[in-house]
Amino acid sequence: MNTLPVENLSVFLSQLRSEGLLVGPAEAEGTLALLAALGAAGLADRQTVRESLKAMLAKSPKEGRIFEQSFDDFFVGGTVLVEREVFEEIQEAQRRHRIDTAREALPDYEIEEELAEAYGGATEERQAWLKNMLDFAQSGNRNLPLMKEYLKKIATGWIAAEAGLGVSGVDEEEDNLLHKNLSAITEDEIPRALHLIEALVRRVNLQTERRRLREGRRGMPDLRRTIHASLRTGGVPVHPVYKKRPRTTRRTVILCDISESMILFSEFALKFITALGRERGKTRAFIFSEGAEEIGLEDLTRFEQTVKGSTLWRRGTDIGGALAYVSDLRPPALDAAVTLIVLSDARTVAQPLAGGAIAEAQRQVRTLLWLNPDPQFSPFAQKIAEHVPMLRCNTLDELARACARLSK
Amino acid sequence: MTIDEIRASLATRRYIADESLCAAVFVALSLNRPLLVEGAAGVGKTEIAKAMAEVLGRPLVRLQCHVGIDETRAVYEWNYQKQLLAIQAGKSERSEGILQSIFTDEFLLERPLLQSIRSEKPVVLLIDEIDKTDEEFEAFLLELLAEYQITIPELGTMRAVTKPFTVLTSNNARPLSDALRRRCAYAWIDYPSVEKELAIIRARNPGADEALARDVAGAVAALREKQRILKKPSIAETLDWIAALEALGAKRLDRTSAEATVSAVLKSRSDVEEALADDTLWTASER
Repeated sequence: MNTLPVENLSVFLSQLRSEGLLVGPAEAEGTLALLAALGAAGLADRQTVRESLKAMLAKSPKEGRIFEQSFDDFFVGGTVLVEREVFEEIQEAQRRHRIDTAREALPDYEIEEELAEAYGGATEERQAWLKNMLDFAQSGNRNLPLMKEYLKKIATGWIAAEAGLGVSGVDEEEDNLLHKNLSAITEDEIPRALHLIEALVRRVNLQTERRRLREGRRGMPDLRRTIHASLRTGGVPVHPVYKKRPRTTRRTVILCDISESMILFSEFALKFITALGRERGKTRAFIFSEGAEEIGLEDLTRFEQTVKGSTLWRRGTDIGGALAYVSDLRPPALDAAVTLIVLSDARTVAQPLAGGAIAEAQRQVRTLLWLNPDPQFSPFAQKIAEHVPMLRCNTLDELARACARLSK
Repeated sequence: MTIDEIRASLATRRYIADESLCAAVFVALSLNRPLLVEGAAGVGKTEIAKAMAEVLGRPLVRLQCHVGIDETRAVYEWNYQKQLLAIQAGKSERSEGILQSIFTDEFLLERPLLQSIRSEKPVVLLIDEIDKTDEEFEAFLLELLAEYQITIPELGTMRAVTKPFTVLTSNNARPLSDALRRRCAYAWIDYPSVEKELAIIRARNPGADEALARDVAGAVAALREKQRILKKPSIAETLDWIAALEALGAKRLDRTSAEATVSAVLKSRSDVEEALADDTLWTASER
């Protein structure tokens, strides 16, 4: 690679800036110093310059990809330039061929280039559909220019899809999954979602731990222990001691709705809550439909098999009955030290009885919290929400936020 | 040191680095910048600092970060007991004199960061798992990483006697600030390709059977590709696996040897079950 003119470099850096990379005067100065160092070491080949500049200017894998694309577009080598020209010529020839094919196949229609190109490159099924639409438009029953405009829009979409536009990167995929409706998560996406849950749990736990440490330091000073500790330092209170907050054993009871629409949500939420609360007290979990039964939390990877092997699978949902079962357990599962979490969309039979059971459970426990994955609360859910804190958990992101609230 | 020389020197220390990592090391060395290395667990982020310490012939000073780490554990602390003794011993002296005398080097306990910039000999400073610290500590590091100086209120600003070669590693538990990133040369270490993993196995375990090493490298790559495997095997686990297979006397990776040793590479029941359910992973050598 020949020496790089400063003007070229400046344009390249401003292009990176426009792509969202943080490139300021310090980076520009660093880049010049780096190029000088590369020159002094006799390293002037394109690949070395590219990798070195990337290490200097791109600060994440995503930025790395943007940098590589920008670099390749900006500093085009001689061979690449020729290859690109040949490629463009081939593409243009293919485009012309598609248009000519379409115009030969549809001699009776006056169609624009974009529409013809889409027709020429489409599958037989799509070609038949397009021809039908054109027949319909030509029949005189419809506004022809309007129909053509509509078909042109569809054709543009086909061409864009063919060119692979809008393909998202890995980070975007993860982001999409984080904000995707839980009920729309496919079987293939479940492992990635579970992986994402692990990462989110780590993040929430880290935040909680930091907050705990900060709050711990701001606690009330313990004078007696401070004086005692000061004896080691000649009576000077070098190391102040703070009172520890009384740590009551918090227990959690989770009720998981296992109707078909809820099983995936219950699995995700259960994994979240148990991972967050692993060191913060005891957790018990019950699955419910028409009745309820307790499940072990030792191996949640088998949650789906456990549920599908249970006699409760594929039965109606009775929230009132499930709450009554848990309330009546001996020794009691619910008491004043328990946080009860219900994972359900609140779609249940016997709603009046369920309402009474919810009120009774709320009276028995310390906190009752409802996580509801429905984007639109049902009328009964809205009624419950007037009395019980009900958090909408339609996406993994919302679920993580709700669970972070639990860990406070 | 050129990029090729860096690659070759690392290879002699049994560290196989790809071009982008070597380029990042070159940038960090040439411009006296810290090197920020990110990537999944077990891809060799910490090892690069150790290998560079050997390459440069410098001692390694390591600061292992954790939640709640603060300046007293990372930079310096006053030796309070010693100070009190000095005060008791010099009671007859004037208080100003005592105050001046107890805030000197004699009473200073150096922690890794201060140790690295005050060292007469240049060192390699490894700040491991920087993402575990909180934002305040990260902000504090900026002064050190940009200016190679630390300010101690009682003693003033201490400039580096020799500039350390600094390596920061992060597992992305939390995003690092842009200010920190901008001060560093950056490298992302991905899981290695089959060929690179094979080269690592050869470097770390020169006696390993070639066919077995190839089977293992291929199987590990396939395991990492499988979406349903949640905890992807690291390079260290690959090496453990091949050692376990060698201990069993296995010459190739087949279903029997895999069943006996897969726990060396996969660490959860669901992952093991998922892997064993897929015969294509183990039968590559039989085809």
